Amino acid sequence: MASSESTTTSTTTKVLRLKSSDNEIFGVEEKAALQSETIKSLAEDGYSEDVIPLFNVEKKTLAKIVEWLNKHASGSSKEELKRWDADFVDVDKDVLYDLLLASNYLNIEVLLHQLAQKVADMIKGKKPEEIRQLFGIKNDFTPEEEAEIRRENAWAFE
Amino acid sequence: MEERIGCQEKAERRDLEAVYQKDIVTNMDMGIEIDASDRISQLPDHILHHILSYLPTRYGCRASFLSKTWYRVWKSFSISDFHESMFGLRSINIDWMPPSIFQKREKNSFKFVQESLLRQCPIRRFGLSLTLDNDDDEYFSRIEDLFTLATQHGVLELDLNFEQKRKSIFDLDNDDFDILPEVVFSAESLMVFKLRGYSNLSLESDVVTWPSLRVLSLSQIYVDEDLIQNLIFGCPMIEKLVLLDCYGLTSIQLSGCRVLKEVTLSRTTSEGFERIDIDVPSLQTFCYSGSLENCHVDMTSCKNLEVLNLTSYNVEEDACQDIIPQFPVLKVLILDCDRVKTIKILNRRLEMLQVSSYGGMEPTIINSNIQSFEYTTDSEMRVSVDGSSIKREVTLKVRTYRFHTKYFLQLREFLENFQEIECLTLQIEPASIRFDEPEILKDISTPASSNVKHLKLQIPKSYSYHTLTRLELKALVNGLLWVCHPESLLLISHSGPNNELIEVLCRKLPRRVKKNHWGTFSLSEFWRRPRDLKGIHIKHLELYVETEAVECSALLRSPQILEPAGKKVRFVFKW
Repeated sequence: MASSESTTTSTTTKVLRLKSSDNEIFGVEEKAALQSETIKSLAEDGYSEDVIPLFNVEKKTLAKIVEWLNKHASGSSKEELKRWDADFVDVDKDVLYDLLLASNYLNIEVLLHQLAQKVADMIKGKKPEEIRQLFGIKNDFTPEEEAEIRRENAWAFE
Repeated sequence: MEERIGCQEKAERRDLEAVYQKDIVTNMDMGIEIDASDRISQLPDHILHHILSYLPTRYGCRASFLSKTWYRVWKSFSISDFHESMFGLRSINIDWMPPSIFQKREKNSFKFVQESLLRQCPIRRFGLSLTLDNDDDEYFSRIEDLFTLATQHGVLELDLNFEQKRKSIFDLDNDDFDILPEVVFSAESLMVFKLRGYSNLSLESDVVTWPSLRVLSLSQIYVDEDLIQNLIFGCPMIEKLVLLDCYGLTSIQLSGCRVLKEVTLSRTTSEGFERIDIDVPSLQTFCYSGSLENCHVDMTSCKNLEVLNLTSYNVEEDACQDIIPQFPVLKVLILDCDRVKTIKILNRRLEMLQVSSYGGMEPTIINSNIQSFEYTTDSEMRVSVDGSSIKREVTLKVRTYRFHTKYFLQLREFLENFQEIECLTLQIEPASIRFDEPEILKDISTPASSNVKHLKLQIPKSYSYHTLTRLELKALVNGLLWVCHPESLLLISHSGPNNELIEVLCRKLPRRVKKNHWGTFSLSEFWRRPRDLKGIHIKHLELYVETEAVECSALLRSPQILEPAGKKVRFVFKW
């Protein structure tokens, strides 16, 4: 597992070059990169020889995404991937947000599932006030509206 | 319900108005209305729906209280899982609730479920959790209606959880409710049927027609062998069968399932199965958990089995030794068997082996090509490897509290069984660590082996590590580098005592390099103050792109590198 984290670029496999919105270029083996539907369709559109521009993803996020793509193309066992993924999504909420948007933009379904699950886990079992605090969500209901919604959904609080 | 819809429309209108007028102005001008750090709420609706889909409905509903955005998102989200609390019937307040309110609530709840279900079209999934202790016929007929509705709308997945409080599930004579209408058992579209805790599942012999069913899971249900046969007979496409704690089932015989790939059986009670007879050549995965005492297992025709997971506290060594060689293409073997102390593994195609046994198990691995080996023990570590190569990864979980010198010695001897380990993951949870008993190591003068390429150390986060002193962390570093000389050591920041450990490594190891000069050599000095390390630097793996190597002193100067949690810090050694 440790070895797969280092760059392995053999001469026979094709490497796609991905450019972040802030102009950093990442080389990723084709097999790994094509897990993203967006990259796949860009590559099919003839970008594959050239640099593939990803205007919506910043360097720091793209680096994480590339790390994920490589790991998931490395042939690790299911168990090992599970452990690795748990480590991978164990990040703070801002990073989570960036990753969610990026995996949505890049259309990497598996990763999107993992991240959504992670956010759900953070919400689960908490009171609304705690969740608001955790994510910095502002309560924009009037007291009357809040009371009304509470009445309507009383079962969720029993 | 009309009120609710009215309220929803009102809220939506308000939302729109807010977006176009008020909020933009206030946000731009004062920047106080919405917290700038609330980026989660700004995610597109479909991602928020995705998040909601991972929450139990009750928490999803609570999320609608967060803000108008979340309310709108919740209202447009189709729910598929329902808990009895929605029915307003499970509440500490019920006894004094006026009947009119109670009935209104009940009616609203059913309507809520119905509307939510119909929002998915076709109905993909219907999950329902209920306690069946109500005597009201109307209540049951309403539930029955929901099942009929789901079936008529082509439901793909039914996941039903029932609790029966007042009647024992062992009580076979109860002639109570039967809320699963017959139409469910002939649902053509149904692909997944999961049922838990429903005592009176009784079926006429040819009532089951599930031409599309792939997954059948029954748990905590009183069934007998005939019923299981009956069910399976109606499912020609069944791929996965799960029977968890099905009372009344003493033997199981499976045959004629052409595409069955996975079977999971479990029994938590002391009686296990008498007979397990599986004649399914397509079977790929078999998991069993529970007693296997005096159980006859015949799976000889399952020649394509790739995964075997056996968790049994009382399976005897001989029985276990009989079962395992039956599968020529076995790829994954997981054994958690306390009575098995030694076991021979001859399966040539085996790629992954996990063994766990309290008291320690000694597997003898012969002529296999295992890629991944996991070993869990609370005491001894023993393994014999003969003509095999375990290349990629070895995981060692040591559940001992006193990780002392003799353990480091055992660990070293354990690792000597392997020619080459690409990655060793060591998971420990010690309460005390010592590496200062020279008399234990006095017969060993050879330097540590370099058969471990990468070492990854895991000390669980939840573990009460605060008891580990700095001295103990130093002992851990000394001990591990006495056991092996890996090319690298990987730690995750903020996981267990890792940050402290990283600091200890940063302080200690450069000194070990500096000391590496000519000098008098004695054994006791060798392990106390080893002079073997030629170089050390840190690779900080936040980015996939290789970062510049960092010196230990640089990390000590800027510990913020370790923020936020989850940073990978790899020490790269030159021996």
